[in-house]
Amino acid sequence: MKKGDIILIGIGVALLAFAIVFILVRPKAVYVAVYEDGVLMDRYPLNKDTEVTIRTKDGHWNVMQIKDGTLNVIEADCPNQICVNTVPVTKTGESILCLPHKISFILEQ
Amino acid sequence: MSKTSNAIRKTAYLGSFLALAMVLSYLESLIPLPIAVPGIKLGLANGCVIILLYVFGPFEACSVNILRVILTSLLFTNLYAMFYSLAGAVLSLLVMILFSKSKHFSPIGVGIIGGLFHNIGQCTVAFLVTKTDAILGFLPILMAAGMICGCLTGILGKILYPKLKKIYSMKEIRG
Repeated sequence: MKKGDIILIGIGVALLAFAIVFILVRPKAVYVAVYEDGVLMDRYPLNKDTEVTIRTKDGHWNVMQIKDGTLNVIEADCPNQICVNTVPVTKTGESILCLPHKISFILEQ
Repeated sequence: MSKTSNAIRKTAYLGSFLALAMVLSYLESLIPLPIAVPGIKLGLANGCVIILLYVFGPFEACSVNILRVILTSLLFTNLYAMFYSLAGAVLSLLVMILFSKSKHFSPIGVGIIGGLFHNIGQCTVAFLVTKTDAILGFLPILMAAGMICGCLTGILGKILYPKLKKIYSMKEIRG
């Protein structure tokens, strides 16, 4: 363990603390905005429970579910299923992304 | 000992390192981490690369790591995932080579900085591909996670490097 290592670990600890605070201070979101390739497609209020199938231009789909103010992607035909495995989100600025489909679900105020 | 047999030995060593790195990448993909942010993984294969960096050098570490990314992507995932992996792998390698040349950092520091820049590289590519600001919201978490996982792989490298170096140089002398 050298001096440089210790400085790096210090930076890492500070970053971790910042990340934790960053997560904790976020307020609850009001809307979920669905973007395809950076373009806003639609907005859905989080206070109304619903299930919507989002279809991309090239025929792929993601099923999103809004329940008790939380957003979850429950099904998709993407190869990696990262969006499905992402835990449900509820706070402003949080998001669920499907990189293969270039679809992003972003929680907004 | 002749130059050729030394080169053959090196090829065999690098080949086995490549195989090991590929197995580690695959094993890692089987372990799901229950974390809210996508893209967090241990980076065990990076431990392999750190050892290569110290035992053999930057060129060998680079070639093994880039081959590993291409081969594992073709075998286990798909081409689009290869872009993300390559961006992270190349950026973290460049920074790790720089830091390993410095006297002020041990393999632990090199691992930390490698993990950090791996995630920065991947995040940047993801941001450029999707043009979504939300990805940058993951950055602080991904950076912190990269540093923690990098620290672990760095410790691994620090423990294993002296042992592996001894084996390699002993065989070299004996012929």
